[in-house]
Amino acid sequence: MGKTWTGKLAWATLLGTVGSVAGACGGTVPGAKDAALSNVAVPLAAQCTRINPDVGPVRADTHRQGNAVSLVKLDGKTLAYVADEDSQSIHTIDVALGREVATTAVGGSPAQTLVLADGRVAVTLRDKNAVQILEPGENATDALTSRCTLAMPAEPYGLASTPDDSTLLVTSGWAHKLVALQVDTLAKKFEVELPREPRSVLVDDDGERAFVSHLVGGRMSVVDLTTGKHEVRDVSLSAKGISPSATRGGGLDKWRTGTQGYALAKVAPVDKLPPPATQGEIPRAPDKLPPKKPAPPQPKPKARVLAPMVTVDPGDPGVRSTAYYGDVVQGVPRMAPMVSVIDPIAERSLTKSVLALGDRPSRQCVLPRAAAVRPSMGRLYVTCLGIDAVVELDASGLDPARLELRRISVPSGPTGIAVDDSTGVAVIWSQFDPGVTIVQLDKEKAAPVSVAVRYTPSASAKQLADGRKMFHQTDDSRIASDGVACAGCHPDGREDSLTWATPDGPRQTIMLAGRQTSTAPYGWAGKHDNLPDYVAETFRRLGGTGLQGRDLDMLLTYVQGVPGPARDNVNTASDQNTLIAHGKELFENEQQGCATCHMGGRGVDKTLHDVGSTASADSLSKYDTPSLRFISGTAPYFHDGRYDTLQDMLKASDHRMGRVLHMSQKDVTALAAYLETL
Amino acid sequence: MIRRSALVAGIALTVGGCAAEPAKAPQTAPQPGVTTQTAGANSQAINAPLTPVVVPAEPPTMAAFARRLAMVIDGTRPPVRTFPLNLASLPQATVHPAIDAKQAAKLDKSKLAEDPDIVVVAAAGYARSYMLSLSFNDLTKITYGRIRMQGTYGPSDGWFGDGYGKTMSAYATCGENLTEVAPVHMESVLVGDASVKYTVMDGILDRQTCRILTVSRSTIEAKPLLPRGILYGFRACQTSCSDGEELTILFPRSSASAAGALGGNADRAAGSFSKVAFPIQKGGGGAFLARISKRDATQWQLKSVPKSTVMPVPFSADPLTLNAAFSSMEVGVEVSQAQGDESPVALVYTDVDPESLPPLLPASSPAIFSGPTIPTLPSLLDSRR
Repeated sequence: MGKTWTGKLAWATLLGTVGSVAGACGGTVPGAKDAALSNVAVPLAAQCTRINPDVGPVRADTHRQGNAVSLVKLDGKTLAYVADEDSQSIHTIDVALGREVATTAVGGSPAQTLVLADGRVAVTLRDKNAVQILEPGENATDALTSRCTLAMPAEPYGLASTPDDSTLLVTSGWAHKLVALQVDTLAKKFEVELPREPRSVLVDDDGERAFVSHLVGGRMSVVDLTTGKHEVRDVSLSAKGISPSATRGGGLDKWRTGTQGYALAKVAPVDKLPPPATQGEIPRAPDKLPPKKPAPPQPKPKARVLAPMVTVDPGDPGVRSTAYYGDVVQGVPRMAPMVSVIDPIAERSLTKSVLALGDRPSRQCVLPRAAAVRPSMGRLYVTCLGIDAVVELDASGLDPARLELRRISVPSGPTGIAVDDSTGVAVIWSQFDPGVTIVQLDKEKAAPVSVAVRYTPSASAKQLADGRKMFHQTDDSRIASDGVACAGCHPDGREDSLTWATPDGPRQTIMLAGRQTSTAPYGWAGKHDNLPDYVAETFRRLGGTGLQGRDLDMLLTYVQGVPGPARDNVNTASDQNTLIAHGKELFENEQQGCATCHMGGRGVDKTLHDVGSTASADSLSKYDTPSLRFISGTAPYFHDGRYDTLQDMLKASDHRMGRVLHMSQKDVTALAAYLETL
Repeated sequence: MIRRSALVAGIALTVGGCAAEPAKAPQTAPQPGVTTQTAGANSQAINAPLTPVVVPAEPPTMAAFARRLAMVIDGTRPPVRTFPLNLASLPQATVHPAIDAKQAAKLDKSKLAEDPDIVVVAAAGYARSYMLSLSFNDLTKITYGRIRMQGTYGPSDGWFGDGYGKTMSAYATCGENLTEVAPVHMESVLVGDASVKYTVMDGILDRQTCRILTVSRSTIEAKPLLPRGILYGFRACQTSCSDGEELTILFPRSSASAAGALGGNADRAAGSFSKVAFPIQKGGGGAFLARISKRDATQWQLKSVPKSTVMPVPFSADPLTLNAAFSSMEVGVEVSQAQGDESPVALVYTDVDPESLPPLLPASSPAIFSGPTIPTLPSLLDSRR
């Protein structure tokens, strides 16, 4: 149904411009060397290769996985490349000196960087639907230079390369695809369709499987790299919430789904046990035991895949709950942190239980964003928005989230981390209060070093950024009594794909990003004509006391300004364009009646309608016409999430919400294709 | 002082940030090379109290109020210390299965001997025929114990008498005209200085004679999982160890516990002492988490100390913790074995320093304790303190 990525490449060359570059956040980056996009088309292989091979930094680790922070080595020094999505630049940090030594402006908002085997740096430009390839200079103070830029399906995010460094993998969040590129030529090897909202990707040590995290859905995808089919297998990350009050079959130990699947990491269990004693007490046992055989030498264990996430209990949407957004549950909180441990061979999560003792701890890592490991110590480091900290976890556990060893506070908005295993140095990037924190992990008393970066946001950009911080604020009793943040249900300003139980009946989370302009009234019931009132009611429903004044203004600014996903900018096949055009005609045709309520496709008629969607638990029968903007990526559909696909929804709601049954399958397909462009 | 300076430095850090607040003065770009030593604390964090707040809510008010009560924030979980656990070093034992009523009915009472440890004493007065007090003959053989007796009492039919302590009460009916028997399951622990002896007995209550007859009895010496005890474990097989093992963990009475397993069930039993068991198998795993009051932990530990020993400092003497005797500690065990793992990966964790647990063990701790210790960072690094 969706557009097909044609694989054509858009190219950029080094412009060599030195000057200030406006960032997405709006602002200036003094002294940044511009490696921005251009439309210069040049031969592929020549343009993407290194101009000066064998000079400059080389990668510092063997993880071969993208992150907002990547480490490189140059003449014994450690440098960090930091992807700053607000200033749209890559900051080069000298870790030993603790300062920024170079700044490279890139062509969009960078999400992740990955250092290739030859020292080139791949960067996903999330808002430009592109991957940019950059080359380092000879010196640490040299800015990166752009070699080429490749068009990608909408919203490229995660990066990884195979163990043989031959293949570069790129996830595309909004287009829900994984693209594989040949590293030497950067030609496309294959592309596979994935479930919604893929984010990070990594490849197992054998190069046989790629593991992909998903922002929503409580799932992981495994892509087979061994055959040409590249089969995509689904791994459920759902887990049972178990608490002292839980009883088997009692309803409390039910399966929970998950969200916030941004990050991934892999680490092999570390044998921390001492060698077995030669003489020891033979335990006494009542029964005779067989004689012990000498143990064969143990093979090296496979690296496990670790997926930091949040498990969620949205309540039973089929029943009116006694409270909003999940019911009163005396057990595991409705949002609880978890690190799912995936058996890479079985392709199955080992973490099937979320344990709680009935308490409700505060300042939990419920907005995990990035992860890194320290293999020699068996440690997992997760950056957490909301609490603005990095948590150090023991990766050997069944759920490392239970095994928090320490917590390192960092400036607001930590979205990237890299760990140098050999030196025990962690480099953390904070996006909201832009800055790099360098932590000596092995030195207890060494205070972290904070490094400011070169960026001054404009006033409007700052206002948006302040609102973003408020949006991700956890443990704020003004917002919710249990400490959840706005971003808990609206990751990236979008929606969690969940249908929540409420006293009014089931309510699916609505996407906010790019949708809050001209879509009043707000909420499924359309009770509020202005956003402040609706937000205030949401806080009340969450048990919060409410925001006032500047804090509320900041939040509303962000909610109204959070950008929607970038559209595909790749060429679409002409037949697809024809199909979309036909779908638009059908949509606007009175016989179908779609545009009567959904004015212009994205608009709304500000009216409640009974479209026969009343669920058994509903207290209302009429619902506000929702905006169809970005509808292709917000499944499931209807206020109770009853339809998984647009076509299901169109067919099932015939004559109650438009008329489509008289249409041919080809027309329905065309209509759905048009809806996906909204 | 450290925290204050960190806060100041944290504020200084935010200058020049895109999202820094508040911004009364124009933002200026930081000078290249500016380096500040700071904990990087989020000085702008909202510090509103996280207590349930009663505000008007829509329907129903009481439900909303109940929700707020249920969402009381209990504070930040303290960090934990983890200790690698070598399951292979733990004792392995075959534990006989419990018997049910059908099996009990088929037993030949004449071939069974009276249990040497348990004495049955009927209650006095009107309860004489159904309330039995069970006590142990030799109190040096038991620290904590519990017994379950299956039978019928009133409208209920099931296991009764999950008492604990050195004397236990159970409901059952005795009388010369009663010929049927009731299955009995008894578990006890004897806390020693470096191990815990776990005894499990399955038998029957001969209602005619009001005696407990032993069908099977096992004693297993569980080994400590933490440097100073508290948690003890052994590997248990049911009928044959080739059919799979369970990790069984014994620890003091817990105020709350939760356990889960992948590939089987996690069983937990509470009472005067706690027991958790879950399967150990490739492709599976299990975990448990429990909260133990420090008072119970202290009492458990002191059971192993000879009376002649000078009493160690209990938790209650901890000057840093107000009402330390009433505070609690969390303990847990995690076991997992992926398909590619030759042996299970297991660890024990706790949120207190095990070295603070009384009593002091000899310097030569078991080898399984000698894993790396987790350094304690200064509170500067820990925003939750």
